[in-house]
Amino acid sequence: MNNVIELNDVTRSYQRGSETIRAVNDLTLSVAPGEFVAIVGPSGSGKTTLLNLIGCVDKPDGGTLRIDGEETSGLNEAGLTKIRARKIGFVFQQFFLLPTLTAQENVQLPAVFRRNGDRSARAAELLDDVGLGNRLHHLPGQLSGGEMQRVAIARALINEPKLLLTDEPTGSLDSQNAENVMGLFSRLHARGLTVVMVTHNAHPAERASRILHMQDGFFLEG
Amino acid sequence: MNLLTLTLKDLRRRRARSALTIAGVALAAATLFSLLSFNRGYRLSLQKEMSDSGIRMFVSTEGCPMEAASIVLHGGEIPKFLQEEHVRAIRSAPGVRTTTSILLFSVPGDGKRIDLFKGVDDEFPKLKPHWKLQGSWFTNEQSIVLGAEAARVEKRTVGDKVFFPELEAEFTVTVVLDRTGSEDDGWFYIPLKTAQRLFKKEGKLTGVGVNLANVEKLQQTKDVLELIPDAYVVTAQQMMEQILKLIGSGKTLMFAVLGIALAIAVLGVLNTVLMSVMEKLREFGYMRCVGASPRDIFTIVLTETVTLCLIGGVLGIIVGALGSSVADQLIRQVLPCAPAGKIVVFDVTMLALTLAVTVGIGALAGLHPSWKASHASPMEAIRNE
Repeated sequence: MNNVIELNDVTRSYQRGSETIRAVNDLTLSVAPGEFVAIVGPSGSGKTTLLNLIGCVDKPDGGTLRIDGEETSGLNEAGLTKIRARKIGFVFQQFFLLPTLTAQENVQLPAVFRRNGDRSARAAELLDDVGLGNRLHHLPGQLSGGEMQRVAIARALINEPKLLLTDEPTGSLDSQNAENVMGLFSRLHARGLTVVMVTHNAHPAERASRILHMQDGFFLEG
Repeated sequence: MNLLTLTLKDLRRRRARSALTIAGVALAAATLFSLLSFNRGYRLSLQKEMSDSGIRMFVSTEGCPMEAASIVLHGGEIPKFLQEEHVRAIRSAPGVRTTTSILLFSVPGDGKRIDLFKGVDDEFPKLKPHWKLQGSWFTNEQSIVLGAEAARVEKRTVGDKVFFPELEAEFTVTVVLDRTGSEDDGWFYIPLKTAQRLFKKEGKLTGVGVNLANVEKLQQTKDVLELIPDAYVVTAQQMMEQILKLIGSGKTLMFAVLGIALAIAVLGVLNTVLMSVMEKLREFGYMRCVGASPRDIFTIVLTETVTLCLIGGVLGIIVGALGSSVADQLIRQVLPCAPAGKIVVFDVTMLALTLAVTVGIGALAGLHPSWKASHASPMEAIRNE
């Protein structure tokens, strides 16, 4: 079976004035299906840049990157959009829910972009699964931070992705809600979903099956 | 849920802004709808009035009868007259059924007012079948028929006496015309002989209206009538073209104003949508992250813009239709010549054209913001999180 993520000597540099910053420096990484990988590092270590490359919102300068067996480095914007829509689910620190849509409609959004037909029933199921079965018709403004993050997780799952990517998912939550959200990721992992989480906090990473420490664009040994 | 419901829900997010944009488009659409309806209605009304009048041609001295009417309307004196003795020759021309002799005159009234007199014979009311007469036509030489506006200004009704000091003449009102909305409302109609005597123009006429027994012989009749010394013959069709030419410059001005209104509407919509897009660039970036293609984002913004304009267009048409009577009165006031009946007449074509233009405004104004939104970077959205 293909690895869900396959990185070989991937680099990504940025220009800051006259200085070239190598945010991701010749990284090689394989993530097998069903793994829960946490990438931990301080601010500026390159972990978010790496997540952007894996999530196909950015393209590497060098090396090769495969998602679910598909080479993405040479794809154009339309090709990358297709991979994002079909294979990847995103969960952001700030949730990003559209304020005019109900919880159920927000969950359906990726399916609308994928022209996946009416997925309202599936959205309701997913919300029920994350403990929000009684909040289907609530607008984001009527939900707590923890509830909004659970809606965002349900939204990431609507297109049945191969890979769930999450960037500081508990960064905006209190400890109780953070615990609930991490418990949810553990459950999804236990069901066989591949999860890659980026965090600067070691505590949530403890639930991962593999922890990678990152600094200055490299993985640290051990 | 689909892209359309997503768009419609988003329109409700900034209600005041959306409402103001819609109001701007509605104003432009109402103006467009009214002017298109006027453009059509005026021609139809004029044709109907010409057709109703039964006058197929008008015989006057050299110069257009419209010119004669215009001179009188502005208080001037017509320099040349047709000799009444020619009426017999006109009547005996081939194809002529009836004629009506007319003498136009204006007299300075109180202050800046000009009293307009039309000396007419008994055939004249037959040329105005749409007139609703209260009372009976001339009963003697001192009878007077008042147009609706003339009666209002003079505060007179049927049976009242009316004295004109400048003419040193008193008349008895035998008829007050119902309001027609045309120039007819402002005239005093007196018997032809009385008018010739009062204005010292015995045996002279401004012109003769001719009704034909056989319209197919129009050209033949015209050729014969033109043999009469000093006679200038103009057909109803030519008169209509003259009138349309006369209001042409007014129409050009109105359509220029309309062009400005439409341009302002486009800029207003562009400004609103662009502002909204700039505020939501990060949101579009997030949408890109969860699978939206540039084309999806382009469609969302363009649909939003076109929907705003479509709502504005529908409201504008409703306002234009409901306010057509007001528009009719307003346009009448600025026209040098307006026929009786409604001159603002709308139909399905006007409706479709107005909607097409407003949708066009939306599409035009939405292109740049849609393009900009579709280029929202998903990475920028995440980077700024």
